[in-house]
Amino acid sequence: MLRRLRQSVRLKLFVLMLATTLVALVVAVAALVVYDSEDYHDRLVTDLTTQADILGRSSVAALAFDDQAAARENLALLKVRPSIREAAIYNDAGVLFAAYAAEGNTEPAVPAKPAFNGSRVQGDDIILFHRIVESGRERGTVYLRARYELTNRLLDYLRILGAVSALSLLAALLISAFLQRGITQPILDVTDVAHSVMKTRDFSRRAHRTTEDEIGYLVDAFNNMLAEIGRRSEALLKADRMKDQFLAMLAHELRNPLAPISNGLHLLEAAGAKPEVAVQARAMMARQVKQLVRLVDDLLDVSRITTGKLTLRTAPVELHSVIDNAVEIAKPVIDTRRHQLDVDYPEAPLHLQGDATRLAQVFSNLLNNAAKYTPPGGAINLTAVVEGDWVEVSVVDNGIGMTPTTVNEIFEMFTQANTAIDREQSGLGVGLALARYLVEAHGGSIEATSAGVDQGSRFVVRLPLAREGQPRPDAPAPVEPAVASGHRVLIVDDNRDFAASLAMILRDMGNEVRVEYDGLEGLSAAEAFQPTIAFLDIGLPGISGYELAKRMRAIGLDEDSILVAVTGWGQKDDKARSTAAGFDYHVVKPLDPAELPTILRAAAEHRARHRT
Amino acid sequence: MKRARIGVSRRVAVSAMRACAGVLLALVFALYAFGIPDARAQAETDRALEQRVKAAFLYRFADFVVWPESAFAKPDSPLVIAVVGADGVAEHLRTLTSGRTVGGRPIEIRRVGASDPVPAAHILFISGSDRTRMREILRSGPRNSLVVTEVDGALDQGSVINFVIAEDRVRFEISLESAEKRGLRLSSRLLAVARSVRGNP
Repeated sequence: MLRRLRQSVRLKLFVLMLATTLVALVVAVAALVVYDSEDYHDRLVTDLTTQADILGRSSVAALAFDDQAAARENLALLKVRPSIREAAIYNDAGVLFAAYAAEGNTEPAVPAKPAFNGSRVQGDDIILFHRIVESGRERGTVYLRARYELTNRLLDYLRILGAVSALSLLAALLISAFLQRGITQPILDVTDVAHSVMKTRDFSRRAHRTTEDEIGYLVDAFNNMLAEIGRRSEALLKADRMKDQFLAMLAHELRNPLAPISNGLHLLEAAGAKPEVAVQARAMMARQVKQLVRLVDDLLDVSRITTGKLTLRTAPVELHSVIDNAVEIAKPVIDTRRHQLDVDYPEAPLHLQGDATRLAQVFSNLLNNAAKYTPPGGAINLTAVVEGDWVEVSVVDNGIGMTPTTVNEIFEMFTQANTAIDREQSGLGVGLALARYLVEAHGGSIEATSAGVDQGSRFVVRLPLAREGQPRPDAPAPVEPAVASGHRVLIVDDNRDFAASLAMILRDMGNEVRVEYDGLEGLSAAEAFQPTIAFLDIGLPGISGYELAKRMRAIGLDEDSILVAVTGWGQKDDKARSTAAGFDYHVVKPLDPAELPTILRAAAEHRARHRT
Repeated sequence: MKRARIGVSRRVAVSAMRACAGVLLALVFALYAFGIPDARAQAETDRALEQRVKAAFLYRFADFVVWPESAFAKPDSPLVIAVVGADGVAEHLRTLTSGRTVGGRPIEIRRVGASDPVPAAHILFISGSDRTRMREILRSGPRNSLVVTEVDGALDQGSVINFVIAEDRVRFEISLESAEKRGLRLSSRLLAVARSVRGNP
């Protein structure tokens, strides 16, 4: 019952009504009983007093002339009042003069003399002594004992309460049945729809609004929420589909360069005496590896954007060099597809505040995009014009163009035109999304337009120009003499191939290199070898890279020594951790060999500073 | 203080009446049956008791009788109770009524000798069984008197209330006719305790 009550609004409503009615009834009856019991008492006392007075007055003569028989006759008249169980008359001296007991009262207990004047309740009876006073003289006292029927009256009230409760129960039933239509039914309707939606996952269902009250509002809100959920679940499904497509494509894209690389290896093995084949094979492998790195870089960027970790290294930037860089990056694709690229920008330098690399990435992405979606031999124009405080860079091609729908979605992550002309160059579908993100991060905007399919596309990037007086980009610092050799380098990494290849490169650069594959061996090697630079993997067997770094510092490694953390984890927290552990540098795998000279030079400078 | 004293004296009277009236007739009978001097002495005492009861009754009748306005000269004229030939009763009455009033009137007790003229009394008690004297007084007596007698058949002679002894108690009978003739109105409560009432109630 209680469970049902918790689960049914209808039952709650009914119980509520019943409870309210009952409480009202009980309160009313209680008030009535309190009032009535007082009233009953007062009326009874008045009545008995009157009775006693009449009895007394009619017995004055009997008392005066000592006529007990007459007094008894007077008292005998009380038999018409069965509630009076006994009565007596006392003379003026307080001596019992005449007594009376009602029929059935087998044990009359008439007091020998008046005990008090007035009335008192004694058990189930009320006792009254009333003085007879006439012509200013006390003539005697009348005594009455009557039933005090308060208990009976209370029982009567309880019976009435019971009957009325039963009636009100019925009334509550009827009223709740009536209210059902106005309150419960709309709620039940909504509940039904909710049930069916939960069961069938059909978010297109709607509850019917029947009332204008809060429930009506609830129904509207419910319907709106259903619509919202429907939209969201659709969006989720779409996102999920896109993610699946993306994964499939990612696998495909990552797999593509691997076959040529694998072939290249075979060629290298078989090349032997034919150096020209080896040269070709290496060139091909280098291209494919570059493509792989580009894909993974894109992926990393996507991951940074979605986790909000992408940060710009803002500095004064000159747009010409940015565009030149971008053209340089995109050049191979453009050339491969035999496109004609025209670049046109004002001669005066255009100064911006931004991240040069990222801005170059934006334009190279746009150029790549144009190259990919334009049939071979197409024309691509990159034009920069100044518009007030803004510079507008547009990339226009005469390629496959876009439908209006595609224009709307083109900047979404993982979105691609269905018909990529060169699947091999299709990429991950994140280039434009990245471009938009980066442009907006620079406080700019990007816009795509197309006259239609096969009508070409136009992408316009608007970026704010730096105000006059803002710092200009410094002239490129003169290249310092390379001090990338002569180091004692310790490499600790359980990835033997990586460790060996890194050791080879470093030896080639003219350094003394030692390699260890687990943490503890690395520690003892560090003690014996006293490296000036140590490349330490973080995920090591034995002890972790953090721990290793701490212990290496603890055993008194040369203070000038540089510790480089080499890890797959590149988030801020990881960097903070490695710094805390005593690392000087944090390098994210894969370690680009091109970065090595920088690190080595930095190490040399570091040592030099320390010595002075 | 005054009330308390009255209460005590009344209580004495009533308890005496209650205690003795019951045995009165038996003792009188015994007195005549055996003629013992002690018994005669006892009878004397009983006679005194009877007189005391009758005195009390005479006084109390006043509460149940309404005299015509003309019976009193002034609003505060005394209520006169005359006792013919029963000094004992008169004596008791005097004791009983001293300091008391009836309806705001003082009470005056008058003893009337056997040959004295009958005064204008409101209550006139004719004691004894001398019917001739009684008839004489009844004929010539004051007009608005409540005449009380103690002789069988006195009601026929014009008496209003007549004492009788019934069941060893002093009771009385009433003639409404006589009361009416004398311009007196008797309370129905008085009629209710009378042994018998003659005439229309």
